[in-house]
Amino acid sequence: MAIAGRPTGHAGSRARGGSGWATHAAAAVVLVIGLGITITLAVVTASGHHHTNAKLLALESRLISGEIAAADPLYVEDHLGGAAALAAAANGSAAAFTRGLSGSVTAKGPFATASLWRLVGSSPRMVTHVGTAPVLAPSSGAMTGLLRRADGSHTFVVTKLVSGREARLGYATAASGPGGSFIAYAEVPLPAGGRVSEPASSPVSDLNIAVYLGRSQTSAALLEATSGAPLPLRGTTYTTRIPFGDTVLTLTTSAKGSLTGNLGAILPWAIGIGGAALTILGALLAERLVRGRARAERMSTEIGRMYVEQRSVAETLQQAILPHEVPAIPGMQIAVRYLPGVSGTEVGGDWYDVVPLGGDRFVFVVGDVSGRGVRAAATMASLQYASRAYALEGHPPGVILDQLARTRDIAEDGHFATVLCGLVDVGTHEVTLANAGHLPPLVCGGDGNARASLIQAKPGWPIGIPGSGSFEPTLLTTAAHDTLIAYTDGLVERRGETLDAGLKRLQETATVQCESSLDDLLTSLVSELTGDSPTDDIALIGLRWLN
Amino acid sequence: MAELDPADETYCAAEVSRENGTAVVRLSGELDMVSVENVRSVIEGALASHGDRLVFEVSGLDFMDSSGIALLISMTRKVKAVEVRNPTAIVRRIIELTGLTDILLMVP
Repeated sequence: MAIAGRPTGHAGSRARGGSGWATHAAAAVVLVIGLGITITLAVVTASGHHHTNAKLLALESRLISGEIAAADPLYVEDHLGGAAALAAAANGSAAAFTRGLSGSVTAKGPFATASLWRLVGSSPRMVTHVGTAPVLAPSSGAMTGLLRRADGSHTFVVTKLVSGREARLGYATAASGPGGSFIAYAEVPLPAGGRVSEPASSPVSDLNIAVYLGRSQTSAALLEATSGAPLPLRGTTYTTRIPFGDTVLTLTTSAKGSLTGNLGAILPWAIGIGGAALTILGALLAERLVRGRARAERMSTEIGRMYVEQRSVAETLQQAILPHEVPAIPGMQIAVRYLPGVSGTEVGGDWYDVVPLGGDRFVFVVGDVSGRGVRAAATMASLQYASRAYALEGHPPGVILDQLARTRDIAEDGHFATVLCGLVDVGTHEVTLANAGHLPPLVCGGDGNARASLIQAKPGWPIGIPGSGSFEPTLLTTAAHDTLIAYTDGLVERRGETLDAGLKRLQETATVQCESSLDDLLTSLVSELTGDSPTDDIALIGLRWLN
Repeated sequence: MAELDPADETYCAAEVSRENGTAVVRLSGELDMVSVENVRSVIEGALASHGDRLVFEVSGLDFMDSSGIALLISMTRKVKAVEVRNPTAIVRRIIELTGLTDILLMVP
């Protein structure tokens, strides 16, 4: 028989197709959540890093500007202003002026040149001069304008001077004395090209710094800047203005790198890359787990299906072997029952058979192969066909069992079989029984002698036991309308009690029901003894003499 | 499919010990087609060398079916004598009704 509707391929591919997007969905969820967390962490870290850097930049810049504000204007006020005041007090004494600037006008600075001027009306006239020649020509209009501007200012005035490649800052500051107003003028050289290099040991070496005269950050106004810094400074910059004479200095800074060290800069990237890697790993793992689970589910379904299929194969085999309708024997009524047990998924190896021998003789067989499953069913089939063959050859029951015993060995497959074999002569009511370890058959009378009795005879060893053989026949003569019942142990076996208790129940039920029709009798035996749900398989055959 | 769990009603415990060189297998519970394979592996694992005699102490055995009989009989292939010690009435009758009293020696 074909195993119909075998769905392996289709079910398998359907299951795979159906679970496909679900496995990816789990991985995708892990990926999205993981990447979300990673990006958030990286952004938060980067933003914190940026914020900290900006704060550090502002802090360092304020320190620099504080230093400039405290030192540079004071120096000019102190030395240039002091020299002007000395000279004014001494009525324009060149000596007093020179003395006041002693040590300030040198080749190393800070002043490259200094001069004292007296304002006569609105036109300045030089009193004395120290140091090198000034970049701003003494007779120029620019000098006149600057000196006048200083005269009108309560503090010093500043201007940037450029001559060829050289740049200087020009300072002028006025002082009044009994002899009138005097103005001191000095020039401070600016670094070549406007660039200075901070030594690496400087606390501000990690900054780009640009200082401009006035409020605009133009190259014309640049006083000095960190060498190599692109101007104007870009990125995160900090700008502050420092009062400087009658104008201001504009200080702009930016960080060369990370002010909080490399770790702070690397951390967001490390979090981002590490988190992404972990997330991908997690997603792969999730995918693997989901796939593994899906596979386990498929296998579980497959195994379950195989069990069902295996049982159905064994059942099919068994039902194909067991005759549904036993042959009609003149003078006899014969009925059979086979009930698969409900426990477990495997079928047992119980069977019955009726073999007509011609005339009014026939052989009946009831057997039970130990164990369950397809192999037990196969053993059962071989025993059944062998016994039928030996019966048809005309052997008596003892010889049939002898022959069977030679065909099997428990060592081969772990199975043995109990077999009851009977030769019935309908006319003479003679029954020859041979028993290979099987439970005793039962006889009850239909003619007012309903009391059922077990046909006790010493059984031989079951088929398959080494050394089994020489089965002694038991002769039995039945009365008219007697019924002989042969069965397998599933009918009488119950956990927690001896077989004797089951046999006693069988006798009692048979005694009560013996006068019912044969079908009713068998039905009653099954329902009374097993409650219609036998745990073990049951094979049952009833023979009733019609005369 | 046979998961052996003490709570399972078809559980059978098997312990192997030695008495004067003879292996004694103590069985308790229910020896049936479900539990028999586990019991068989316990016994075969414990009996590295088979002596002349193997004793099954079965006073604690509440149930035995044909699979259990098959196990006991298969042991007769490996030793000269298999003794079934202290059988309950249940086990005794199964052995008697199967005609195996000559091959599975019940004591007492």
